Amino acid sequence: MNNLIVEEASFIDGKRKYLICSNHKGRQLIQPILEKLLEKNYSFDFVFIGFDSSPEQLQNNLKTWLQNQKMGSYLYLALSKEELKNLRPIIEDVGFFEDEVQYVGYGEMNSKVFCCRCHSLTELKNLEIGKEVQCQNCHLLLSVSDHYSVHYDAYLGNIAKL
Amino acid sequence: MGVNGLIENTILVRVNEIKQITQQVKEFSFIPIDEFNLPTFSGGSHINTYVAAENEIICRPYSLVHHSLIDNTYKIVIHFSSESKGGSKYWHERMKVGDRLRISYPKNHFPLSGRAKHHVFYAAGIGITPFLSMMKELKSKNKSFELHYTSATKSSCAFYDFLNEFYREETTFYFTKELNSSRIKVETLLDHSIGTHVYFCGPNRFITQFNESAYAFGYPKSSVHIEVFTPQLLAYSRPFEVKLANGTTKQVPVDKTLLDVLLDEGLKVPYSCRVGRCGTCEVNVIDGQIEHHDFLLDEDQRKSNKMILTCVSRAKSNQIILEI
Repeated sequence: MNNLIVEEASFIDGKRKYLICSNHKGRQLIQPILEKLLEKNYSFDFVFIGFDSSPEQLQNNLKTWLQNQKMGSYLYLALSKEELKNLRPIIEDVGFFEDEVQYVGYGEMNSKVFCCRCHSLTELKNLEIGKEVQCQNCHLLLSVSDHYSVHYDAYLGNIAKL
Repeated sequence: MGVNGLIENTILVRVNEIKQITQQVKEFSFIPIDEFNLPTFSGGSHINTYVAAENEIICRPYSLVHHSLIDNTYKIVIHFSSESKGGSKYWHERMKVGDRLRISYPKNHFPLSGRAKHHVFYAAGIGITPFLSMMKELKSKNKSFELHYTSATKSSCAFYDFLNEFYREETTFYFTKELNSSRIKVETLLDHSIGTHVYFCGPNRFITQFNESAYAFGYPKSSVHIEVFTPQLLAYSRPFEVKLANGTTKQVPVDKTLLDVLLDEGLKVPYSCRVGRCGTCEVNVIDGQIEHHDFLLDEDQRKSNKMILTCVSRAKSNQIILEI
């Protein structure tokens, strides 16, 4: 998921409609996109998530809204990285994939590293490719590769020192 | 290299049935000569057929429309083209039950998307053929799909009765020469819900029109799939010179592809689809400007000016130097 989340939104031109969903903090991240859409007079829907939304409410409402959209739409989601991570399966279940959605995130996110020796997963905050981490199960020192597994939702950790 | 000097491994088969589907369309069934089980294939697959004519081997790709495990047969369907350079003309006028030919193993450059929530097929004329196996596969998996199929008239519409019988709910017909029939329109693309993948097959003009419209409506590239069996016709083609690594130079005339010239030169260059889809014929370019006509390379690869798909792309400059 780390490789899909950006901290700065980039404008994708040529879509028939834009869908924007953010909370208060994410609003700042998405502001340049809103300005661009207004400047170009493009069609867009903006859904603002208030403080009182429970995760279940958010997921259900988001799903209903997105299921009614047509092909050619482009989605910007500007939320905390943890929220984005939890929402991604729902977004993909509706049918928005990498080239139809931009995950714009803030804050920290827990990531996992897959140990090449014992196959256990080690959780860590703010993962960096190339960084060395110790496997929490077999204690092998691992170098975090950029090889990401959707199945494990984890990055492959190779032996750091031979 | 396969047998008989062919570029790929092939299966020797015999034509065991020929059916007239419409006035212009025939269906051919094959069974293998040897005791051999024809391989199963995924929806959208095709085979290359190699027919030995007098002075040449005519190689043409055709979609597999049917495979029977019970009687071990493949079926293909061929539309007679008045502009035929030998392919459909030979098949329609000279192929008889009992004739032998070689076919490639099934290959699929037009597979179904595994992540589509809904599949929409747009077919014009004989462009229906790859969709028959695709729809069969989806139906067997209980997946959601629809077909938009345009033809001149009901009588010239291949598989009209079959589609009405087995895919009535999923099919919409459009007849260009029938009174009171609606016309197929690109605007239908605007109706599809998010998660839809669209597939186009038919004459190049039809494919281009729908392909370009899909992008103009904001469809991402990954949701749009096209099947092309004949290279795009280029009204503005110009001749150019190709220089090979050994210093040999050859002219590429307007009526030949770069690949044709390389093969004529006796070079064992690999190729497969011949329509700029698969990338098998990609060659590195040392110098010269490229005019890309393929459906494979991305923008960065095109801008790099370092590779060319010889089956469809040409040189913009007077000369191109290849690393072969």
